[in-house]
Amino acid sequence: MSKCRYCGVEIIDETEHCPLCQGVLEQGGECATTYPNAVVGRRKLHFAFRLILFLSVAAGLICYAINRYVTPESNWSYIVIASLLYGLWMVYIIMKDNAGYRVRILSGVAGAVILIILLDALTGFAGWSINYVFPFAIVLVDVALVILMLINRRNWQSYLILQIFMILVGIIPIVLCQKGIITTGVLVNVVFLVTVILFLGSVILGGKTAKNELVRRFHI
Amino acid sequence: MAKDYIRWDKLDNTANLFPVIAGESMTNTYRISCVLKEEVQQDLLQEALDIVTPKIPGFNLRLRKGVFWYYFEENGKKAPRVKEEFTYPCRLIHQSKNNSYMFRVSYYKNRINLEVFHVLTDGMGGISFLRELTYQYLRLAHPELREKLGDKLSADTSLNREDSFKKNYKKKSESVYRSKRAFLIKGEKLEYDGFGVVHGYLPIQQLKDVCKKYNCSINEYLVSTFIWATYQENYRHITQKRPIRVAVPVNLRPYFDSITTKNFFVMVSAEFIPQKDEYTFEEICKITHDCLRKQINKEHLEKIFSYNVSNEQLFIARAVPLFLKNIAMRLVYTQSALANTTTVTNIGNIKVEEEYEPYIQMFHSFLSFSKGQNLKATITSYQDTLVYTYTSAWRDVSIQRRVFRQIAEDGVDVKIETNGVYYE
Repeated sequence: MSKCRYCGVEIIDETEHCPLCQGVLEQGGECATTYPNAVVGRRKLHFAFRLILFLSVAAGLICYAINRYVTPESNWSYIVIASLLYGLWMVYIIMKDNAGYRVRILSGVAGAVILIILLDALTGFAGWSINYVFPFAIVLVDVALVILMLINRRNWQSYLILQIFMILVGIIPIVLCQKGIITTGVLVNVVFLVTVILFLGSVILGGKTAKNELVRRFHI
Repeated sequence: MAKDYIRWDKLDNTANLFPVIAGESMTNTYRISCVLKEEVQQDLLQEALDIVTPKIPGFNLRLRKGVFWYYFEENGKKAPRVKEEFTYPCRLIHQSKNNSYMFRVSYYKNRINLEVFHVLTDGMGGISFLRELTYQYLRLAHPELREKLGDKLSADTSLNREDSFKKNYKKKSESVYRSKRAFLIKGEKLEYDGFGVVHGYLPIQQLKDVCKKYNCSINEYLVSTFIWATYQENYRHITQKRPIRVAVPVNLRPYFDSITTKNFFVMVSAEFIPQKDEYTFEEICKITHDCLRKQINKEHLEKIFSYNVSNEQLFIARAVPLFLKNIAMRLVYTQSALANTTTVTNIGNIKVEEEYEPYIQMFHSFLSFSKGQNLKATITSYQDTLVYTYTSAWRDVSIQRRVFRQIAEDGVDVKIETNGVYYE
């Protein structure tokens, strides 16, 4: 153990200077390092994250510049930038440590729907994105939920709350349909019905397990 | 297939806050470590954890989100993986990567680390779990102990999960919380979200002699060293409008005859409002002593938690959807968090069963940071040594330096150990 004559304390660490005052230590007996060097691992992680961000920003800017000066008659660079933003969003969600697979699936699908609506808008807005892609995205999540329930059979009931969430999402195209924004009324209603049937099926077939899950989730 | 009935439980009054405010920079995780006299073997520690986790219902849990409240649900998955310590302590516990558990176990050389998300339990519950884990590990590493003692839990361990806040609160209580801003320590942060640890090992007998001189308890003396050091280092910024306020958590179990392993503590605060230009350390000890003694009595402690619990029991408040509750809780928390300069917590004297004493060298513990409080202190004692640990996000260590210099000047033999960030 070394001694710091300025602080009047002994230092257990393997070091030549005092961690409190940076004064040089009087070297004594046995010293020890009792913690790992944590900085190295964190530096690498930060760099990987920044590299992806930099490459995306650079690619976006280059495309925008080429678009402006070479083909100013079209706005194709916006499509590239929107796709890059979606890619960045997905990288962020995948790299984010505390995002579970449910959050990843839902935000991945939601991001894709927004991107496709944007693509539709940039190419003259024919309406195919909200008329077809949006309702099919809801069906896609429904199918994903069924698959997840089958895979995670021990905890299938925990997806009931997501099924309720999807019913609420399913109401959005119906409202848009009533406002005249979506024109595929039959498709929208069928999708909503599928979502409701999926939930009711889970509750009825799930019996007590489903009931107890809903009691827990809705306890006041 | 899923079981019809899954054990589930509501969160206690304090725990409701933690999932709302937890994030990468405010992890609400604390660490308790047990230093053995031998090197830790990873496979045996994993085996010990696999045996102990299903036996402790307060740890065999996962956190779920309801429409109105968070709640605990029995976990039942394989225990989390034991890893060799490789990063900074008290990082956010990601349930999705931790078999949905809200605690993590790591090791480094002779040390076993238990890191717990505060939503599960306070220091008492953490000590209890770490002690059982260490006992089980030692029984596996030393088969003669296992032969003699078997694999049963210790008689000192409580499995009680009562909500003692709810059981003991008084209706119609008024708020006693202070929300005026305190002086907050600022500075340059350690790079890469660094986490600095400084352990000060102090002989308890020498500390007792010093405390006798200042006529205060060890806890009051150590809180006073922080106030003294902060005042000396920042005296121009510490005013009557921005006093030093140290939050001191008080374990409520002895006052309310509880053995719960859920959270059961409240915060009192040691306040230093400068009334003149110069103060001696002795005067600061007296101020801290008077301030804490006034608050640490059953009636006052009861008032502190009764207000919060009685609010939580109102049906109108209960029926508000979780996302709205979260917004309100975040606002209230920010206000109250900035009312304290730091937190100094004493998790007490850890006792182990006689048979295991020859294998255990030391216990220590520390806290992660919270809003406005990037420097915190924890007191842990084992046998004849007290460990006064400072954790900090700041590069500057002038407060820690003043604290340990003061203790050394008072005649206590101080030994310092750090996690190496101050040598980078």
